Amino acid sequence: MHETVATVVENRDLGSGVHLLRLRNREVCAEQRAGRFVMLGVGETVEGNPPAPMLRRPFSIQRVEGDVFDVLYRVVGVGTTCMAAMKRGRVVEVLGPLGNAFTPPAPGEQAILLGGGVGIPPMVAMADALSANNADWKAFLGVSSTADAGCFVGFDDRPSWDSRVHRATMDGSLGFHGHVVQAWLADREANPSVTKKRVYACGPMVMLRAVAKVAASLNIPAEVSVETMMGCGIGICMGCVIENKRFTEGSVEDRSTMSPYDRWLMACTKGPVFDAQGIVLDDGGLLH
Amino acid sequence: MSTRWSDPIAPEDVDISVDVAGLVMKNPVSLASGTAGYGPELSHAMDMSTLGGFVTKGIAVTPWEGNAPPRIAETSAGMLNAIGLQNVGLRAFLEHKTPYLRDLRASGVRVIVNVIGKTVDEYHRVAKGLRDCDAIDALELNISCPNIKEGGIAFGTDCVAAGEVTAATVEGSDKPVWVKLSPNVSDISSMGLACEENGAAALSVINTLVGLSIDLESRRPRLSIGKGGLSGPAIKPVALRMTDEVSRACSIPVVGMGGIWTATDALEFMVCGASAVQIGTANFVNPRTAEQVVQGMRQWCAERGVAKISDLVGTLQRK
Repeated sequence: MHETVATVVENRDLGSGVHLLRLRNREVCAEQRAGRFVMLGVGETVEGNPPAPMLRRPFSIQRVEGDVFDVLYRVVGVGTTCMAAMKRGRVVEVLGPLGNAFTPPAPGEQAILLGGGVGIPPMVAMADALSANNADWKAFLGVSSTADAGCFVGFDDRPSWDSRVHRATMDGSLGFHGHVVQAWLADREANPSVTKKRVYACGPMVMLRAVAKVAASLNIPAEVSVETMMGCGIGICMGCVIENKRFTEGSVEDRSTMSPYDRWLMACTKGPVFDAQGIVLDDGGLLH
Repeated sequence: MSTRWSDPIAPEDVDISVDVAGLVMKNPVSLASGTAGYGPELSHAMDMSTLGGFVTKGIAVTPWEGNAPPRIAETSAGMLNAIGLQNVGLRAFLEHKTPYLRDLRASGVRVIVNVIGKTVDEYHRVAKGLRDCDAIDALELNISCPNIKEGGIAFGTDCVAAGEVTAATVEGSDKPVWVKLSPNVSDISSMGLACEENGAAALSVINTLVGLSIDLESRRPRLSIGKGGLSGPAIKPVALRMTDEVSRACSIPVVGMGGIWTATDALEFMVCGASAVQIGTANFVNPRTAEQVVQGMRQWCAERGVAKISDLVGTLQRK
């Protein structure tokens, strides 16, 4: 983890408020592993004053190319509005890479990557890592409609992956008509295989709940990357917690090893990647 | 100290050590409770040995769960939090957290343990449990906790309750006891005096201000439990006013905090009567804030020929 700065290389407008921000910093790139994230100082700063907005914002690292790393974001509030105005050459405060990372699939396992909207970036990072290791994978990516297709950019930029990548829209305006879990299940039915699977997912909580449920019913291990309201990224503000399912629903043995302190897990240091069956997939409905 | 400055001196010639009720700190800057974990969390992002002091996350006699999320919400120049004092509890603190703190203390950083409780007895038991612990220098009482025996009224808003909890902790402890005052009162000086009369060694001024942030579209609070504690630069003027008032009303030292972002902010607190300062919310945004504030304070003093930083304490000029 580094407390450093990065320089904006590109801030590409992909339509519908979705942007790809490309930042240059060698140290951050060197420590990236799929699933990790950075805290970006996005506010305007006048020397001697706090930035506005004040808190840094967390973003998954989508891709590393050389000493440049990419983050994908959608303009939803004041922080991302500031980001959208960033020009090439702008220096941005960066803390990271932070958090844990996805567990790589075991030899012989096929990775199933499920990404929804601006939750697609960690799946790009996984696809890059899996491809570099010649591992077997398939991706199912969903957005609400073709207007949001900019979220697919990390996969669109790799045409050679097309046979592995399945795109879906909720309104059917592009690719499969339905959500990503439906797209995955439809593909399972059309192309049955006995290969062991491991699921990796990132997207809205409602999608992650569906992923966890389906993976459990199929007895497939699944890891999810969660987004929570995060203040610091390094485990000191304790704001970004998610509920530990082992605490609330665990076995007697599980619970005997835990204290009340273990009920809420910090997404920044214990996550952002969790076993899909290990946490309660609920953000209180107030994320934005 | 006169209002005129002397000729500049070399930065290394400035004595930036301070004395808080006999506890000598190598510089005035500590990290505030609940904004720096138990120590190791921040050690990856800053050089902890540059600190004057470190105040731990609040410790209760048993582990606490804390509140459901969302626990934080950003506001203009600040943030609201309702973490709910999630903490590992006294036993796990002694077993797992003190080894790091012992090393930190050996590097010359004063270690202060923040203490929380729901009854007077719980504070007393934490104080007793920390007796003879060689990893720590002082206790700081968070009296903004709800007093369950008194129907959930915070100890920090009632002079009698604040005095009782102070006395019980002092009685149980072999270390100086600081009390962190709540700003959510009409007369903070009388709270400070109640703590002083009951044996407090110093007063930390201030804790967070109770606030509310809502989402208009859903007409719901942004925090799961509704209200939360406001911190950050937004509260600095309130904190300065209270530091000034408490330091004039009480004879024990005041440790000032509330929205400190820069060396200028920290020095303003000292001029208003703070013997030392703590940095909180700024750690979330820039984990190196404390380091930079220490450097900046030394530089400021050097440029103005202030040979001893503690000479600034309480020198606010009133016409």
